[in-house]
Amino acid sequence: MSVELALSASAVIKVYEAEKGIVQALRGVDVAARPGSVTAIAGPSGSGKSTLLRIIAAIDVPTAGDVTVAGVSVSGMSPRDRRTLRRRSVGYVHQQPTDNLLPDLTIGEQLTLVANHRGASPADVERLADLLGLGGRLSHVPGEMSGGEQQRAAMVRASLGDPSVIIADEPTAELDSATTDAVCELLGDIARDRDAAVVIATHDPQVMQAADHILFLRDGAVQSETFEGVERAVIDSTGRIQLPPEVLAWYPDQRVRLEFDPETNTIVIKP
Amino acid sequence: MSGGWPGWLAFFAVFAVSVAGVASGPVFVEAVGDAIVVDTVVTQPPVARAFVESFDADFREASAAVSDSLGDIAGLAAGPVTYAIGANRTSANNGDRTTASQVRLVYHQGGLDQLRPTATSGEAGVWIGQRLAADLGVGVEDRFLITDPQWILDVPIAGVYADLDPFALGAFWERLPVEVRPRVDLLFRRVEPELVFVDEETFFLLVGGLTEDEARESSISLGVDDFPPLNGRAWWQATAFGGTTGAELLETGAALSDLQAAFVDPTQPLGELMRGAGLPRVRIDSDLFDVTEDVDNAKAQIRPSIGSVQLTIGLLGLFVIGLGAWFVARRRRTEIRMWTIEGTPPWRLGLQAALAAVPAALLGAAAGTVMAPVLVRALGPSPTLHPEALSSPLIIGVTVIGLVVAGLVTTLLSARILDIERRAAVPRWVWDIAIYAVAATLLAQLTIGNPVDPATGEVDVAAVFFPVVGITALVVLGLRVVSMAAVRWRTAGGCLPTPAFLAWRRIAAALSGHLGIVTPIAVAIGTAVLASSLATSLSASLDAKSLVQVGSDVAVPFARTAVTVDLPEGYSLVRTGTATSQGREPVMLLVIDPDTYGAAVPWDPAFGADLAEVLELLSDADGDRIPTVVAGPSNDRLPSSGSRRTQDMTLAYEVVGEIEAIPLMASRRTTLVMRRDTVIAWTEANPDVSGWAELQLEAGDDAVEPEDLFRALQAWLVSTDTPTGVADFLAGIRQPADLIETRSGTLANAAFSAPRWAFDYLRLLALVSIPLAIIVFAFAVVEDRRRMAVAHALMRRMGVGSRSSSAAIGIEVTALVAVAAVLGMIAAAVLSLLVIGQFDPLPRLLPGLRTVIPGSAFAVAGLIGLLGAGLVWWAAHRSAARADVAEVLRVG
Repeated sequence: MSVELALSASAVIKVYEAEKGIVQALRGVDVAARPGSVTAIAGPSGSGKSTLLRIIAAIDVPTAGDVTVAGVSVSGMSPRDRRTLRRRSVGYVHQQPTDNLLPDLTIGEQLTLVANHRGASPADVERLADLLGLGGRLSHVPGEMSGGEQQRAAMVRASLGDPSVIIADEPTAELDSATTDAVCELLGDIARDRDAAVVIATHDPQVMQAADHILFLRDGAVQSETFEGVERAVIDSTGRIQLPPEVLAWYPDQRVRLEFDPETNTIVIKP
Repeated sequence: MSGGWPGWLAFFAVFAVSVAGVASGPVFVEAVGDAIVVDTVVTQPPVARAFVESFDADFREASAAVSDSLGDIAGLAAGPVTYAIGANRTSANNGDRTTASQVRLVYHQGGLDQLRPTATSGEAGVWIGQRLAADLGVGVEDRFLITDPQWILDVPIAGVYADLDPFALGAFWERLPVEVRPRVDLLFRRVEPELVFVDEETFFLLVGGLTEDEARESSISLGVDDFPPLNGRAWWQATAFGGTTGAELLETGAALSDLQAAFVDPTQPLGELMRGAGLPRVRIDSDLFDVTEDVDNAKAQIRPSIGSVQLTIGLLGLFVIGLGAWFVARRRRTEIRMWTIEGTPPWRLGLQAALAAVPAALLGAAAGTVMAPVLVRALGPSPTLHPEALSSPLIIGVTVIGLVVAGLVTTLLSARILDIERRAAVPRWVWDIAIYAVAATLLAQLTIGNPVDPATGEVDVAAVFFPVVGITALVVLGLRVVSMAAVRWRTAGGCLPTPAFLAWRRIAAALSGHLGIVTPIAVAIGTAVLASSLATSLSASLDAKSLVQVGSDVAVPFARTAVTVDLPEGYSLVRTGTATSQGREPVMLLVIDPDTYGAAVPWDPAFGADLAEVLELLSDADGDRIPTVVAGPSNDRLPSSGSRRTQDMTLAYEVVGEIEAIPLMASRRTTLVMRRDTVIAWTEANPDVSGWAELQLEAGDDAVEPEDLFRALQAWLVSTDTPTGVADFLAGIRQPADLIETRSGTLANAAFSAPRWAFDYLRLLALVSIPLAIIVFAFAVVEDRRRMAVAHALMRRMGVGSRSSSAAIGIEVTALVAVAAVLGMIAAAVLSLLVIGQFDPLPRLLPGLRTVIPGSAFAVAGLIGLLGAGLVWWAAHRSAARADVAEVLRVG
């Protein structure tokens, strides 16, 4: 039985020209996320997490590959259509609480503003705010709230209008451990309650633990994937496989022999 | 979307300044018109005069109607009426003796009261002058005949008056039409006709204008039975009120034109009345018509220049509005990013920014509209305000375009805010070269072409743009050099105290990183200084040129017969003439009297030397040759010694110095300047060479007067006295004052006034640049306050004391602003010296344009720099002091 995906990215390549030359940020990444799931994208700095997030959020377009959000292919879309797609189907939470909220408006005012923008009802605002424990804070401006509360408000904002995909770029980076736990729980609640695919870029093991599906990126490619607690190496669509650095260290000349055992369906790597 | 109250205030101010600058253009043009009219009124109240060259016998009613019509025009006071007959081929006799003098019978309202009687009969009749009475041998109660081929009048003499002095008529008689006042010819000899004055009743009796009963009852007898009706001329005079504004005077001129049309239009009651009275062609002549034409010409002449300055101010204002929108959008970039991710199109964010700026823009535009006439009053040639000249489409246009620019800038920034592709940006040097190229092109255009059209005084658009573009190019170049040096020397501050060390390291980094703040400040200050320098230099140059053209504040050609009179303090005689030499271009000879010259001629440093120095050089005679200073074009060199011949004399000269110009010299003609006393001494010592012997021979037994030496030269009376004072002096020595020339009059001439006014308006560019610089500072405060607060917090966290950290920020801010101000001022000074000569509006007149860099402009620029630095430092310090260090560091 095939499950309709909220988000899928296939063989995504992103190359851009920087001042110091050509940068290959993504080298053929595959991602898929079901509605109601939480996907964590992990990896060291510079591994391409943010680039991937911006592409699957329809903020940017891939150089090659295909990205589908809410059943719509993003590749080749005009900026105007991407804006419409973002408005209808994507919620976004930034790393810094101050980047998510307008400092001069109360939480209630700005949630209402966004709800109008995305076609959500005021009742939705109240329900979501209650769900995320912000019911009593709607009349406060962001400056009067803690970082955790601000991030929760950002999540309410991102969830308004029932987007298919909610993307969060390291949403717990500024938060303490206890608040991080709470936020992770909320993200899971949101995913299930709104039937949305939540995609989170993170370094945080706590967040990864809370995710259904974890992708480890390294040097712009998916190194491994953890699903239902089992970590697997990933062979990308071009047949390449990435070895973890500690394994790679066993083969200093980076030349190996592969032996396939058809009886056990096993590939053995020998020096 | 706004930038908080500083942003709002800055938007308000920039809209106010931009609208005031642009909207003041038409008001300034009107003020110029006003100034021309008012100047004319001040120097000579305009006179409106209706006149006819013939009239029927009974024109009394029509005459009253003409007089009343003139008096009914607002701004005019009906003046005297004048009727005259005769003077074509008239003669007068008393039966025994005849004089062939032409005689004119004149009735001038109130005229008899102004005559000084020497004898009177107390009866009705005519008044004749003493000279005519003597010629005819008649006196009061005699009768005399005025004969004409067509008619004869036999009239009694009621009185004899003291002849009017043509050189000292006084205000009453000077206003009379030239036909009915005593005159002199070019040789100052009195010319005919002799004026015979009559009262109104006698005049109408003579022209047959009285009814039969009136004639019968008249107190005088004509002495002829069959008296023919006579024709003559009539004038109805009206004078404009003094102190009337130029606009009202122009309205008076228009009303006079309408009246002129009504007089000759038979379908109108007035025209019908005139036609019935034999006055079908009443014409009105008025100085106001000429003034109107002058005003129209001057306005047309300066309008393009004013337009160029308006355009520059408008573009500057829009640039600052764009800069402000950029600052505000950067400050609100989080918000913009958030909405963009939410799918809001950039144009909508731009529209929101524009709408948010609407209240500030509208209030600013309103303030600018109010300020425009005030600015013109401060800068313009007339204190009279002309708010009616404000152009609503212009004001609305500037406001709307400003809002569009603010919206566009926000739209562009919004469109790029999610652009994560760090595309290879256009390298910095490409922009730099583009600016240098535009500046070089404008410079070439100014150097090769004429930034100021010598024919029209029109200022080229390139000339108006050059201050801004040239300053920008130099400032950018200077900043590149300074920032490179700062980066190179950034490690050199190790031995400095902590605040200075920190400031130095931050400045080194900031100079290249904050070009967006430093450049606009430097450009605004530089533009203000350069525009001010240009305007001051031009004003000074026009003053000097007018002095050369006129000779002093007041100058008048002086009769040879009067050159021996004693001159009061502030008066001097200067003699000019042509001196020739075979095979060489004629030169001009100018002889000054060293004893009186200094007090009678304001000397200008632009002439090329100090007057005392020139006089000293000219006195250095060795007996062989006359020491001479050469003034004029430097490319027209004379031999350093030689001889030149005037009409009577040959003078041997020796060049002892050179100056660029001297008052009264001919335009661009080499002029030999000599002292009167050295010329006399030399000619007496060299009778064989100079022609002294011929003069002695000619004089015979009489002594040769030194003045005879100069009889081939034209004498000019020059003075620093007022025109009225000079006129009174001339009247006192019985010399005509008709040819008085004044420097103020010359400066009011369109050739001088058009460029002067255009460049006066350029001062507005300087004035506008100053508030714009302050506004840029305000934006800098908005932009930099947070950065400074974070810097302060970081320094505190590093263990630097509060005072040291505050001092470091103060030093950094002051240094940045000081660099901007100094670069702006240096750029302005360099450009002033480089191009100012090209702006000479009257290159045919010497002296050439000389750079005058007003110290006040530098002082104001320095003050702005200081205030700006203080403002930024205060704001940063205040933010830093109020900020929670931990919070600032966490979110900063």
